[in-house]
Amino acid sequence: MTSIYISGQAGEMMGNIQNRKCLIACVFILGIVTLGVTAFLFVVRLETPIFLKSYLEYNYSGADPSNRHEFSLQYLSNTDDSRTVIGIEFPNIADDRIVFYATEFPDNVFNMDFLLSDQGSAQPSTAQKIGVYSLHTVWVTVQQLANIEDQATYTVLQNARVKFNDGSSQEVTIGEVRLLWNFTRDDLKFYQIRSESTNNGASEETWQSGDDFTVIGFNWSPAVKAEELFSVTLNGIDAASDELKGAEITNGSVVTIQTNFPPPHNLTEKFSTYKLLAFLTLKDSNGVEWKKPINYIYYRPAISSFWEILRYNSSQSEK
Amino acid sequence: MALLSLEQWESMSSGYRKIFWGILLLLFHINLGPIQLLPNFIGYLLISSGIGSFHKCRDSRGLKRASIVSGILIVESIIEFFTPFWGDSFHIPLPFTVLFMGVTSGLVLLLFYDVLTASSEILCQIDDHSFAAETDRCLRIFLVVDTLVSVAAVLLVLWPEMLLFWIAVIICGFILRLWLATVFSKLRRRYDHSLFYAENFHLTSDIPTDGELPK
Repeated sequence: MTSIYISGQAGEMMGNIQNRKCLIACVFILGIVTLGVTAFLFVVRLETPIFLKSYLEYNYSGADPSNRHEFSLQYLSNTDDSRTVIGIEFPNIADDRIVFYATEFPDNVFNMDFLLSDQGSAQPSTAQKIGVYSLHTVWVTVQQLANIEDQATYTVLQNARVKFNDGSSQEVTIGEVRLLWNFTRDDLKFYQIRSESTNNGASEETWQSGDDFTVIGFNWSPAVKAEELFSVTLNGIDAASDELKGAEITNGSVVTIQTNFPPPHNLTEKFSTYKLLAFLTLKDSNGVEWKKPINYIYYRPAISSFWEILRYNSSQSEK
Repeated sequence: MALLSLEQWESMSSGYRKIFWGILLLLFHINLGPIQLLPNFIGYLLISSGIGSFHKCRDSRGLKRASIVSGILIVESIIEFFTPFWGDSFHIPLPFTVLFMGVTSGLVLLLFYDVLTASSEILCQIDDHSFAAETDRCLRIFLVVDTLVSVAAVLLVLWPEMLLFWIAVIICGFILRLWLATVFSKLRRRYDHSLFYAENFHLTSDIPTDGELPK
């Protein structure tokens, strides 16, 4: 192949014109893409962190005055927001027998290091980056300072004030966390053999009965419309159905309780955490009524898509 | 043929050598934690110095613009070098980081456009039109490929979890810069000391090493 070179000034000019056009086109394309992505990032930027809703119920024994209990909350922030949560208050809770602490570092929860509020900021963030957002997990510790012997009472946590390590704070609605005190009775003759729980709402508990029981009824959690979200079966029978009422559980028989979180779910449900309690009311051979809690009604969102978060944020702002 | 003096010839060679090493320094990042051991501004300083050498041969608007652009890139990279020392309280929001990326990529395009265009013009000046055309072709390839890599890098900000694409973009960018360095290496060899005498005086042997021209 013969290459033809246009010599002299004419060749020089033609080359320059071609190159100039190429440069202009490249800079134009780069400029459009950069400005477009920048504008998009400004539009989707979060003004404040968004706390995902958590509907949690815990059954605590309040007998030991130094008991500590934990639960976790999740929130979304911009990926360039390096703040971490170091404290939490529930202004509507006037009970001085309990105090709340918060940290984003699970190691601190076990070592109580988070009580020194500077500790959190010295550690690398455990937030999960998803697109231009970060998903943070906050571990909240409920520290008992005294005996709580109120029978079957709830401490309900809905609105919180979270504190960040830069000194700022934010009022948030966390959903609903219900702490049920002093409900468990340890002498129920129902012995757990096995349990298996997943984050996607599917779980199974296997129990062996130590007495003859009659099923009186099944009560769902009052926190949310749990019956619309979860299904619970007892040996394959829908726990909430009339078919189960009056069923006999003989001494030594094995009972399998299965829970599921069947679709469809809207975005708000998919992005919320549920850990609910339901109760099976049983009557034993002596006619004594028992409320057996079903503990593994649990769903935690698995968020991996930035675009799904965008749809969620958009749906929340429309409300 | 417009002759270049020995001094101009040597300044071209020196200029290309500096630009070659400047590009290589920009290519490799050795960090000790947040501190860059080979900061980018050193690479840009070398490139700027190389551009300065070309002014002896050709005083074009393009080269002046290239000097200004390299100065801006030096300042930008100095700021980038000191950013980790400003602590956690100073954080650049992501949209500005993306804007910064896009502007830097655009400036780099402009910088090498001006340098390679001036190189081509000087080659035409010494009647080496084939090499000039080759340089123009390399310039166009660089502009197109670098734009594609930069556009991909900006778009991938929205998909940071697509690790394979990120790796592909980084590898492409690395290979492109390495190729660009070889282009400048070829340009430097074009202005090798021995070629000055061969081309200007048609000498094939006994090239004087003392710089004295034969009578």
